[in-house]
Amino acid sequence: MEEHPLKEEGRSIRSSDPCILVIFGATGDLTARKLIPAVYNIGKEGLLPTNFACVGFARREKSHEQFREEMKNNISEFSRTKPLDEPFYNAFQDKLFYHQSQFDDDDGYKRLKEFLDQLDTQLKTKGNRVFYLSVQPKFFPLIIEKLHKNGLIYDKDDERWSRVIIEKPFGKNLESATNLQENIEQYLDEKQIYRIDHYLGKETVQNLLVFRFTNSIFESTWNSKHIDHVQITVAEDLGIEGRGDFYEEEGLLRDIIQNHMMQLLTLVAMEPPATLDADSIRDEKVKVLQSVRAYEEKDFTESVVRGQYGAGFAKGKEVIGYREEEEVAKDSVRETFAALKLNIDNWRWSGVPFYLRGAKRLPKKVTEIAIVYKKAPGVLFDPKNELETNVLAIRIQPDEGIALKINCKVPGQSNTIQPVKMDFRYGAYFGKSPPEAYERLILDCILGDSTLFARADEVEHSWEIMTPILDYWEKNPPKDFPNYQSGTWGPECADKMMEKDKRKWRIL
Amino acid sequence: MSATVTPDKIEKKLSDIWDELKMTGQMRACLFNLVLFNPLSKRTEYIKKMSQKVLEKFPCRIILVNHDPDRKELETKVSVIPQDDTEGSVVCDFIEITTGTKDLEKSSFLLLPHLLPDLPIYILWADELDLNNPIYQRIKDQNIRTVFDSECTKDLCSFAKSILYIGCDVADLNWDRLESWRNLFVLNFQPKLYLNDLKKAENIKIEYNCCKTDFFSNTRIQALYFQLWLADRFNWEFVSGSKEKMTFKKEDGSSIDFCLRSSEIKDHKPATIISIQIESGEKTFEFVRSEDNFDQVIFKVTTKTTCDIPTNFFIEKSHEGQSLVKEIYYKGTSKHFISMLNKLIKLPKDCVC
Repeated sequence: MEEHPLKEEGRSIRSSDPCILVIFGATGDLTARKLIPAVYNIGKEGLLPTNFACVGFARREKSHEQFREEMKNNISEFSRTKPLDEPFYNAFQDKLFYHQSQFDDDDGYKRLKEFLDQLDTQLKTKGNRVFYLSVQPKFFPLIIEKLHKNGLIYDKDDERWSRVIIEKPFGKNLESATNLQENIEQYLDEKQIYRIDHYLGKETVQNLLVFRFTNSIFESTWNSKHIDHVQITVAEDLGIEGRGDFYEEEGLLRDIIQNHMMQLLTLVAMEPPATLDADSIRDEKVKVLQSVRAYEEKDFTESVVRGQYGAGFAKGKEVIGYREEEEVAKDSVRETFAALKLNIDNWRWSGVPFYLRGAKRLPKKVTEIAIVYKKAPGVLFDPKNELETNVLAIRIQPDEGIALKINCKVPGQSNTIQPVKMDFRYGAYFGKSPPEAYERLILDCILGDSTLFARADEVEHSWEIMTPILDYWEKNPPKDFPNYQSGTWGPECADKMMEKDKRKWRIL
Repeated sequence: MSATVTPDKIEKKLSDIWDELKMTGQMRACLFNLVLFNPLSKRTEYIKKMSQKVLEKFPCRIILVNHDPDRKELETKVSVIPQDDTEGSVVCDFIEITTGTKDLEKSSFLLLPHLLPDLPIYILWADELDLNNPIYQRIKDQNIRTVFDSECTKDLCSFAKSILYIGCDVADLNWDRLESWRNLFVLNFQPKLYLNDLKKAENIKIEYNCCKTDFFSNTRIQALYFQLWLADRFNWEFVSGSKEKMTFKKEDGSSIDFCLRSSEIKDHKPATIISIQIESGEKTFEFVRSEDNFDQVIFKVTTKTTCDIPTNFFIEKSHEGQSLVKEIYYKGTSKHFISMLNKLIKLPKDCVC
């Protein structure tokens, strides 16, 4: 490709093609809290294409003006940058439009096409499209089919481009994910599909690759020779927050572990990619998933545990149990806690278990990856094997940062040894409001960069690992639910799983 | 509050201040060393504001060297500066050295022990570039990145030659101040059709704010840089001209005229570009700052018979220190900048200064 004479690599703005972003589910919570504030902030940073429009597509009747007014309020409330920049918003709102239609109404899509064509003429958006499906997964195939049928999806050879962003969950198990994939690949090429996992848009998650592959001190010890085990925790202090319907259907394994946590695992465990392009990175991530040892029958009881929260306390207030939540069955067996031990059978990780723990209603909200190193030989200072091991803790949220636990001598005449923490906090060095994950991801999609989106085979392999667990759970309902009190670190069986391996969960 | 200390007590005093702050929950952080060399003048306030802006974005240790030529005594002060006024905020070290010309050599030795090891060193040189200055000499061999402000120079040609001679990582704030405009051109001339129009342009008029202040008097530099950037990008060679109007020859033998027009707009930042008009065949491309909002640029393309719907852009609000903050994001010297300077030094002197 010929180089643009005015562009300077590494210094000029990443310029993008003109386009229109169409958000399906424009009256939903995600649009209000995340998507529109993200588009607004991308615009404020001057990173949106020159010729751009954003069209909200939803079922409710609404005028452009009403939509703009609502979005203004949402941006004021939810944008990371405050207060609302009125002069900027006044110009930005001219690019916001609303289109009312049912998702299954062909006429609605015809009208949408006409409207987008009209905007193309008016705003010179050149026919390029991003369709963001912020809707329930059951509508994905329908909307994609209708878009295709009505000429809104282009062939890959077309000069114009059309891309579709799909929100998780991508399927409910291996079979449904495969079906969904087969369904949408009738209409879309893989390069047109952007499966969003907002964890990948987080600065600290992206920093994982930088941290690993630019610091030789860590990468040279990043293997089974030095590392005892890895713990990945995604803990929420919140309950299901009115999403009883969704949770009864999905559960925690599907909600958090199959996607977010497996993405974290692949980034921690992958080999250095040949290059930083999307496929090189995703190829390496897939290799990790392919190396995860399949569970045997005994593993479902020994290496996997589940739990459900009962009543307890959160943030000093009494809270109800999962079964008392709205839209939840009184005898529900849906899990709100899951912990697994995974083994990666490759050269680097042989014998290093990865422990994953995800849950609702734990004592605090925290996402952390902990690399727990092997003990130093105890010959000199630790004959009783009492010293703590080094731990490299990568905090994804909140208080993003990296901490290293090391042992030090306590000053004085005795030889007392005490662990201390070397702590690096992102906020202290780079400010407290990094760009929201959705900003990065929407912009990347507009730019055609799919590095931070999940590829079909990543999703498929992840389901291959999780589906046998779901099947086992389905056939063997738990008898002890609820088995942990809200505000505690989970059920006893999770601790026992670790104790069996002579290890402990980290107290975070 | 800054405390005057003797040069040998700088670190001790900082340590004492930190001991006092221990209970307040404030955090000491530092990403790099920032050395500011500044001739003591009305502009000192501007330089201090700029350093404060850098610090708000990135915690760093600031060492400000004020040069007051006739001063007899060397003075050293220390203080700590919070990034913001919130509780538990990050606080940074600030060392201020005020020196006369006779103590410049001595001051240069004062700098070295106070540079925090293992962290990058950035220098903002807010004075004429004198490669023999003892301060510059002393720190040039450290692993540094020097940011100049061509605003401080009286002879832009010599300045450009010196920069090209230095050979280490450099930047110029006046170049950085143009970044939004360069990006605006990258964005708008992305379509091949428009880019070809730009290459074939016959006339380009650049209007800039010539209103001077205590901090800015070389108000033409940014417009000149922008003109030369375009000329350099398309290999246009200087033929003839004056400060206000220059003619360049294009690769196909045709010519293009540049006109730098000054306008006085008191309420806005001096030296900034106000509008750019490009005439190419039948088309006219216009970028004009909005009268209602100076941070908004309206872009329109017109021909004798058609007029496109204007597009609005928000270019970043300019404030003190923003250019320096941005320069810290980058590594290496901008190739476009160096190439542009090579163009500049070939211009007749009376076209530049």
